[in-house]
This record gives sequence, C-alpha cells and structure tokens, in this order.
Amino acid sequence: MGNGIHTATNVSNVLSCLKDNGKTFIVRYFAVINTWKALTKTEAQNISAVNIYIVSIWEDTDGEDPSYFSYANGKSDGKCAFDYAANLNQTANTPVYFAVDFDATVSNKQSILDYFNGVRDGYLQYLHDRHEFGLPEIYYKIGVYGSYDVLTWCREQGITSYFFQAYAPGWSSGRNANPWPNYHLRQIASNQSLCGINVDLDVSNGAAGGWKY
Amino acid sequence: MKKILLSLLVLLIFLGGCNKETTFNPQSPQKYIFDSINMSDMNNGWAIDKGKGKVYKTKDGGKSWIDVSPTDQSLINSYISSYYFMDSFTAWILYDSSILYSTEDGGKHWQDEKVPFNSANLLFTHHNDAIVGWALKSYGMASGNEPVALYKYENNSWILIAEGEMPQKENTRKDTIPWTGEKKGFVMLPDMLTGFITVEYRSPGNYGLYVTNDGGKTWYSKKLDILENKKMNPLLCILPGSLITGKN
Repeated sequence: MGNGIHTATNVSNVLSCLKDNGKTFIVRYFAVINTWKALTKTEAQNISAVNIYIVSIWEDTDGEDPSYFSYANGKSDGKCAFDYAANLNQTANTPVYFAVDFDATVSNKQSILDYFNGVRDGYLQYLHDRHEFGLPEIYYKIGVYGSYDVLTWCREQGITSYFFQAYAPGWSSGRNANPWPNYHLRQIASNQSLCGINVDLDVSNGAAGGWKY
Repeated sequence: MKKILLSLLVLLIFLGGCNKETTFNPQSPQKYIFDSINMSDMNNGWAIDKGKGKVYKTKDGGKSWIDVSPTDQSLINSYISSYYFMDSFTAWILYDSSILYSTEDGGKHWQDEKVPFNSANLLFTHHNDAIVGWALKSYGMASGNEPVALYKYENNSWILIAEGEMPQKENTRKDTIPWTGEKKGFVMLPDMLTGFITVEYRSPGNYGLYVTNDGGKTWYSKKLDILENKKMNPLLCILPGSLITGKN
C-alpha cells in the first residue's frame, strides 16, 4: 500500500517536502485546453528525479457535467490523452485514468459507458496514427476515476482495467463512503494543505500504474 | 413491384423529412432526453438536450417539440455547455466550441459570437433598456475544485471583471473567488452590484457562499446560520434562487 497525493498544482518546488512526508506517488493531470493544471515534461522529470511515481489522469473540460459524456467526447479525449502520454514518454503499459467527476446515477450509466467506448476507439485511433506516421506504437491501459457505482459499471463493461475511487462520501447513495473492492487507487481526503499546496490524499494498492523516467 | 415499393419508400422518407415538428402521441410517444425544460408561460417553452447540442421549443404546453437548434456545420459533435432563457423569444446557447448563439425571435434566427469562455454560468438581464450579461467562466474541474473568472457583457463586448484564484499563483488576494470547490450557482441582482456564488465541496457538511457588493470586482465569504443545521447532509448545495426569494 502506497501513500500519495492528487493535485492540480505543479509540484516541482515542493518535491523534497512531499518525499519527507512519505509520499511515493503523485497524481497529475493531462489537459490540452485547461492547461493550468496540466503536467509538463519538465515537471515529470523533476518528479522522477526524486524517485516518486507519477499517475496520469485525464480531466480537461466538463468532466463534472453529465451531458459531457458521449461516444464522440470519449473518442476525442482518448486520442488526446494517449497522444499526451506518448509525447511525455510515459512508460508503456501504464494507464491514463479518465475522470467521471460527478455523482452519477443510473440515468447517466449508458452515456458513461458510451464515453468509454469512445475512449477505447480514441486509443485505437492514437495507435493507428502512430503507425501511419512511422512512430513507435506505445501501448497503454485505460483507467477510470469516479464513484463507487461508476467503477462498478466500468468493470462490468470491460474496457477499463484500472480503477480510481473518488473521494465524496455522499456519492452513489452513500456507497462511496466504503472502499470499492479491488481499487487500484482511492482518494481518502480532499482539499488538504501539504507542503504549502492544496492536495487530495490518496492510497494505492501498490500496483496502480505509476510511472517515472 | 420492386420499383413501386422503392418509390413508396423514397416518398415516405422524403415526406418524413419535410415535417420537422414532432407531435406527442400517447400510443407511441416520441422519446426525448431533455436536460432542462424552461416554460415561459403555460404553452410556450424551451428544452435542451446538452449532449446532442439541441434546442427545442414548444408552443402547446409540451405536447409537441420543434427542433430550433442553430444549424452551423461547425456544431456537429459540439455539446451545449450552458444556456439562458429570458422569455419565449430571447435565449442564449453556449457551445463547448466557445461560440455563443443568441436569438430574439424564438430560435428562427441565431446570431453567433466567439466568446472568451467555453463553459460558464450565464445570466442576462435588462438594465436601463439594454441587455447586460454575466458569465462565470469555468476553467474546468480538478477533483472537485474549479477555478473561475467573471465576465460582463455590456455595449456589445465581454469584459473581464475579476479573475478568481488559481492554484499555481502565489500571493493571491483575499478578496477573490477561491478555486476550491465546485461553483454550483451564480446570480447577480438587478442592481448590478450585488451577486452570489454558491460552492459545493466533497467533504460532508462543507459549503461555501461568496458575495460581491461592487459588481463582481471583489468577493467575500459569507456564513449563514440557517445552513448550520444542515451540516449532517452528505452534500449541501444552495441555489441562489432560494436565497433571493426566501424569507430567510
């Protein structure tokens, strides 16, 4: 079991403090529109240099809006996210987690599953495009970040192979207060101050798909 | 025989395509998924399917709905991130491509405008015989936190009124809108000076209410005693409408 953080802040200046606090991984964002929160190559190099793992999560626009979740947006996000991973030279066979950042109900289930069908096809498009341009095909995994119920639906669907449980005890009619069985990552607190930055606290099962250079 | 059947099929498709209006039939009702229905009166109203980027109107109290969406090709695969309906004729629709469409004739004609936000809480009001608009721009969520900025539409242009706090910046002023929490509600009162933003946090019992008294330039946190007894709720969301009209 590892302890880590999840943050929208560039951590380059606080890495030694995070290490002193026993953090072994840092969850950082991929984004191409709302780039204020996005992981950069320099930051990834800095994190790797202190032997901390990076966990990649894609959440760019409107991940909190149920209407955002559609096949088309999933495909676009999948393509962009894995292009982003390859451009950063993220380690092969590690995941990018895709955020479903709201309290989804059964009425949202099908559009979320459509979204992940799109993510899978966006990933295949990414591989196809790499092949077309003569670039090495770096294989990755698809992960999901969300509530207890979202993780359950995605596991049944079979596209995602990594599962990151969001912190929001009231979600999924309160089921989200309990650990989802077999999670890879789980947020256990939000909006904490650590080393002078705002973080969420996460735990991992020790095989959550972190990567470093 | 085949030719006759084919001709009939073509005719059916052609005639079907001519009639855009869909009539509600209790035997085989047309199925819609609306994110929102906004009735201007007993008969006239608007509805939105955000995911498909569609805008609908009814003139018969919801029995039938007409697709009045803007028809630009650039909107294919776009979704509606926000909208505002003033009355049965006047509406604004914001697509995720940062194009804001407005109509003053109930959706027959739409004006498009590139705006400095692709996701926002929108609000429009009449003020001194002119239309004034407000947009609380979202910079996107990050695990329940959402930086924002406030824009005002006046004299045909959008002006940045206030940048909210960003996590990367140091020495942020204390009178800005914090980046933590999801911005659930936003309203400016007709005086154009007073406004409210409601914030929802993932931690049970935590809520936020921010107030401006200077037209959105500065914001301060407001604690409400009435909300203290709601602290056991897993999530607490306070809509501005109830704050304006409620006796408390």
